Amino acid sequence: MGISFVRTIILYLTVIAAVRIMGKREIGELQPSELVVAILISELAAIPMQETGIPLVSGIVPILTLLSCEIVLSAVTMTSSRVRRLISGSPSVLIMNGVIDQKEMRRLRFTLDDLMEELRISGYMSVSEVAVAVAETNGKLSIFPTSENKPVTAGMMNLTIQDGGLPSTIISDGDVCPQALKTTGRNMAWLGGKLAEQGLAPDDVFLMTVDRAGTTVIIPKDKNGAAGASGRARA
Amino acid sequence: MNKLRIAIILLLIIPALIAGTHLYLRAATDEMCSELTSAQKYALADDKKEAARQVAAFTKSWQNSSQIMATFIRHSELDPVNISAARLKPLLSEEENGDFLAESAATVAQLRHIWESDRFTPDNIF
Repeated sequence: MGISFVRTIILYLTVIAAVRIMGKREIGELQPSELVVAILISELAAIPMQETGIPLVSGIVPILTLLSCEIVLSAVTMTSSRVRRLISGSPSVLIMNGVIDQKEMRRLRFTLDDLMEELRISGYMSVSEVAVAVAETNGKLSIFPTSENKPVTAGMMNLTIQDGGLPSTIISDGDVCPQALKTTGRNMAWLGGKLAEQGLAPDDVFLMTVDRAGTTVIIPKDKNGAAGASGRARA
Repeated sequence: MNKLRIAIILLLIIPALIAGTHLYLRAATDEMCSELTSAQKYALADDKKEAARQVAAFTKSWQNSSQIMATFIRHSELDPVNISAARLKPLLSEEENGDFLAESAATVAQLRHIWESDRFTPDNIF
């Protein structure tokens, strides 16, 4: 039991390191080769964890080999579009101007149910609303509506909207982030003033954000310990 | 690029390690097989003292090697040799010459199997 415990910790750290080295893409959208590596690594780590009669290196060596091959392959696919197409495939157009490409659907073994499900998920009820639907190499379907079904944007209506940008977190669960204050061009005096307006101290704040336009959102801590959405204040 | 460098280094280190273990395995099993073969010859020539000396040398070699081998060879491959190694000395001292020869031959076969199972042969790969 003790050996399994130690082995589990070693393999856990190895797999964490492997996934970390492979990069963030591995955690999100998986390309075919990345999916293969993810499945194999989990399998390779599990066997020596349980079987103490198997040397630990016979689990670690294949994991490191897969990791290295994956990184080298990624580097090669970055430099060669031919290899990239070979390994990851290329995007396929399934709908063009509201017409389904049945041949392409058969080739990809994409059923009509799958297609309709994807359309519904994306908020389209009919194929006729879609200008282009592309099956991406990671298996996701990118859907672009026809001009008449595109959502109205401020640009279409010639409206000028003040862009606040990405809000910066100034206080997170009572902790002031001085770096965020600095990057937003604010200081502790400004923070003190904003909190005083609400009658709060930094410790009383669950979340405080400020965007480029100066819009401040303050969510006080709930008295019971959890943050209360009802306590939201905008300034 | 750093990750790529790490990957290339790993892809160089891993085959080097494999080659190292492979060479070690060959040298160690060859040495132990030769000790056992000598012990068999002395036992056949009724030189029990020299046979016992060779068995003791084999036991010592096995004790040293098995600990290293356990880090890269399946333990189930090593267990039969452990059992055989423990039986050799008593068989020799109890004057069970036939049993000793059979057991030492089996041990040699097991040792050769350890080496054979690690070789890059089509049998092992496929």
